[in-house]
Amino acid sequence: MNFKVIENKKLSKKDFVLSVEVDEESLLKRIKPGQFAMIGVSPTQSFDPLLKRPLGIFNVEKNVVSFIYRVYGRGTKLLTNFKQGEEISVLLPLGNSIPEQFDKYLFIAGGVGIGGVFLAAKTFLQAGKDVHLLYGEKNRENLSALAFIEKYKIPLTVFTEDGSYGKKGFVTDGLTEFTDRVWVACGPIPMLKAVKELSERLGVKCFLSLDTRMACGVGACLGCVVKTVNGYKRCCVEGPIFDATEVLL
Amino acid sequence: MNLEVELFGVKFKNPVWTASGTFGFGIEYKDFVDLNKIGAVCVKGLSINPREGNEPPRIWETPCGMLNAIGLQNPGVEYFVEKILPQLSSYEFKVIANIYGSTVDEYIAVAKTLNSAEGVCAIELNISCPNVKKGGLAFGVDPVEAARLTEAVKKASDKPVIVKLSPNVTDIVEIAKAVESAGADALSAINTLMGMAIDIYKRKPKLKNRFGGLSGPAIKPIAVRMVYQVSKAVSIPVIGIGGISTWQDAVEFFLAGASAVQVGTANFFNPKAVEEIVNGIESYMEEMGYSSVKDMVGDLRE
Repeated sequence: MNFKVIENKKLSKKDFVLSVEVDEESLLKRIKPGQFAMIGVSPTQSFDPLLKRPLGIFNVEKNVVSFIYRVYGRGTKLLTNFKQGEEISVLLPLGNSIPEQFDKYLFIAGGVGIGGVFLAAKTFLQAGKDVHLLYGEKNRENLSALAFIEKYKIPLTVFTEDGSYGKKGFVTDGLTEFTDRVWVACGPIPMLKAVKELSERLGVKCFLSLDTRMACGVGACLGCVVKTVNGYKRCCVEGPIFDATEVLL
Repeated sequence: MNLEVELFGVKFKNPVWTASGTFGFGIEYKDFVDLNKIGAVCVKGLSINPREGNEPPRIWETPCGMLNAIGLQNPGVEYFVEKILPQLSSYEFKVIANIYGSTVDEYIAVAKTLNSAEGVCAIELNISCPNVKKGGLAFGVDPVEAARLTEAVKKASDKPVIVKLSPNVTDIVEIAKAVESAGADALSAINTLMGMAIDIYKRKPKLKNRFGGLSGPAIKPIAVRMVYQVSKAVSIPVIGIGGISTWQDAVEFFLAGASAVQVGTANFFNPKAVEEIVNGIESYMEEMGYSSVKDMVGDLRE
């Protein structure tokens, strides 16, 4: 599917927000918090790089769907070239979603992992649920999603490794205060490992949003599997949201 | 324009199919494409018992291509026949069952299980998977073994048998001739080329399996050459596979001698690839004055 780019704006040194216009009502309605999209990163038709890139659906406002991404390699670097008004090839919505049957949530975002939990935090808060967000980063400059979080008044605790904003330390330092909530975490693997271990030790229900290299994003290539207690599961279909007790990180 | 082709006694609405391992069982794509535009779906390789597949990482992107080492993960042939095949019956595409085994007996057992599966129009013998130790490649690189297996499966199966050839050989024509003599109804070529990529800072292979099969536009010229050589050497139909991403790519294969084509890796980055290729071939045929696909096959002016 081709969508029109509304904006592709730099938020910080390496982070961008990409917004596209989705006019198909039926598609918009299908989007659930925690899902992702496969994004074609070349503005012109090219076979290099060949594959689309998976990005979590960061936000949906009316008919505008947004993604937050950090420039890590060639694909994300190319993505920064998209200009307003250009067409971009996007497959969405993909994957399962964050379970919504609970009343109290703690969302845990490490860096651009905010892209995987923000929409849930916003949507669940609007639905009257009790929501708190822990957002961790290296330093103040990297806290790219701060303005969005403040805009939607999501209850927040920020952690920076250098103490330049919020509390000094890792996002995982704040977990023990919230053992009466369901945890949902998205971020780098070491962070997810720590969250998983703590949730198991404290007996807290916990979900992890995983990110692996993908080719198709729809369950066909079997390239993105993650190891679980029940064998390999496709991150793109059975995931990206997994029960923390199920996945083997 | 009528794109219908008849191969090994089966009528296909068009000669553009999806390659095994790149389109799941078809239904994975139902929300994104009109599955009825597809001539046939070659399903993910089926074995007698379910298989877990290889440890990840299983894929790595390369210039104009990708490496994969999935390791033939599949739910087993019985599960396919009982649970998946019935879901495919409402679609117009033909179903080709790609099968493999680690021994001749395993291949025979899978083929026999499929005899009663009405929805399966043909079987495709994978004798060329480079990614599992006994993934059939042992059969695919030796003309005598390849012929022995083909003969055994032909005897066991009520369905037409397509043999999928490996490019990881010195002389693909020799293998092609051997399996033709052994009774193959058609050939498909090529499977992936064995490759490797290395993470230079970790100083480790990118894939856990060390090696993987290279696919995508990068391998197309090799595939066109091999399809050309094989189709000159045999009289059974050859199905062209290898990096086909656009209708122009597909036409190259037809002119090289392919009677049908399979689209593989392109499905990953463009789920509508088959539909676009079908439409493109139609316009090309009109423009060039072909009235049937058959007329275009091997119509190379040299």
